[in-house]
Amino acid sequence: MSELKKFQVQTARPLPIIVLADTSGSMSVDGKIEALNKGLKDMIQSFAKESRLRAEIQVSVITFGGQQASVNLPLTPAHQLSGFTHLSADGMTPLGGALTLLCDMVEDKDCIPSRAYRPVIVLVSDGWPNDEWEVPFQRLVNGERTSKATRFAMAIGDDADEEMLGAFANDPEAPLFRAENAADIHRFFRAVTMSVSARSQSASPNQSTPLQIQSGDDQDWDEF
Amino acid sequence: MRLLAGGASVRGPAHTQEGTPNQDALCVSGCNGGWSIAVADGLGSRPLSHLGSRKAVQLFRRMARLQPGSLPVDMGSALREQWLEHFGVNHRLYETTCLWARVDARGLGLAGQVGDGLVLVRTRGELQVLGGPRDGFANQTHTLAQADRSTVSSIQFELVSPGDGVLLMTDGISDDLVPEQLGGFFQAVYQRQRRSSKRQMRQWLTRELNGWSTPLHGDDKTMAGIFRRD
Repeated sequence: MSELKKFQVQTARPLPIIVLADTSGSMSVDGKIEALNKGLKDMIQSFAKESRLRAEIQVSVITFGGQQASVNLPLTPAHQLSGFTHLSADGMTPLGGALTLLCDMVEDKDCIPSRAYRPVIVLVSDGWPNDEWEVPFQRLVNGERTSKATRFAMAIGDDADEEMLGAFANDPEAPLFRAENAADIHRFFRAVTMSVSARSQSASPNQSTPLQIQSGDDQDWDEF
Repeated sequence: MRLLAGGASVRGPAHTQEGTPNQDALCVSGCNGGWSIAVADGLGSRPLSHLGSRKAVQLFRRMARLQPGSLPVDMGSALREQWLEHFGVNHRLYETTCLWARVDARGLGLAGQVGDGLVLVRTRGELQVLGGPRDGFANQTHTLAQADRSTVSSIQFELVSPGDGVLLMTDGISDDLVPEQLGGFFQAVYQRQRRSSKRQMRQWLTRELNGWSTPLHGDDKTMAGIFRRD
């Protein structure tokens, strides 16, 4: 009979993954929002089915579209998720609002405790932000906690702000990924899924694992 | 005044599963009526960190033995210099944290820490936690090679009352402890130490650490303590 069990936390260490998803009007064309929904759905389902884990994967989705950014899915253990509210695309690209929500979430030790493994943040966008995004971007990059997260980014199509997205991505082994069609979006999310799953099963879940985008036959897909 | 000391180190389930060694290290060493203890946690990202952690606690034990009086408050820097001297230019392969404490025969003590883990000190019945809460996330840590005034926390103390003591643990333990229950945890370990020999204490702690109950835990776990019994 353990004498020390009563002093031990009875929840696994979290491994948070937070997706910032562009849901502006331009995402509604060429099947982009559908591809994004499918990529997210598959990723969440894969995490929910993971076993043999060394960490509890938790997922959050923050959207930026319409008039303002919002938390579509609060940080939730993946195994408790049966799905998420599908995203619809319209309106502006309020990235600054999304970054503020993100920073608030990462800095909140009640939401992401210090025993959590380094969060993974994924930014997906097909356009240029049109609110005040620079200040929250600097807050993210320089913050005591926020700067420690691993950041991946995907530019969708030719009209994305690649300079901003390139500055967002901070993993030297995973530079900005450019998606030219819906299949690329699927492949990107598959790679994120595999990277996070590998981390969660590793003896050292804090270590980044490379984002390996599988090659595929794109000939049947229309380019954005 | 009687002092008691004990400790144990176990390989975590993740390393057992992978067939890799325990990257933590431990020393519990008696000298001149006092005790010296140290725990170290080799970085998972460094291939030879199990050797780095072992060397860190060995160096601390040797330095404590060679210094019969009070240890320098700047023990972290002294330890860092010797550790770097040993591993030389390839020291990054061996990176480790280190937590240490010594209590002499009069009950005067010094404890220090560089990197993750937890040092608990109880004097006159009051529990103190060395260092502040972590700003970042699990397993993002300073290392012994970075030990300087900004990264080392240290404390001088005196064990005055029975039950006073110092407890060191690596983050495989400290990250999974309920923060509000640290006092109860300290007391439970002391009560067991009080009625155990050094060997019995090691066996009990080994059982407790191998039976860790936090879901999905994987880390190596190491703990050492010195207590005043009467």
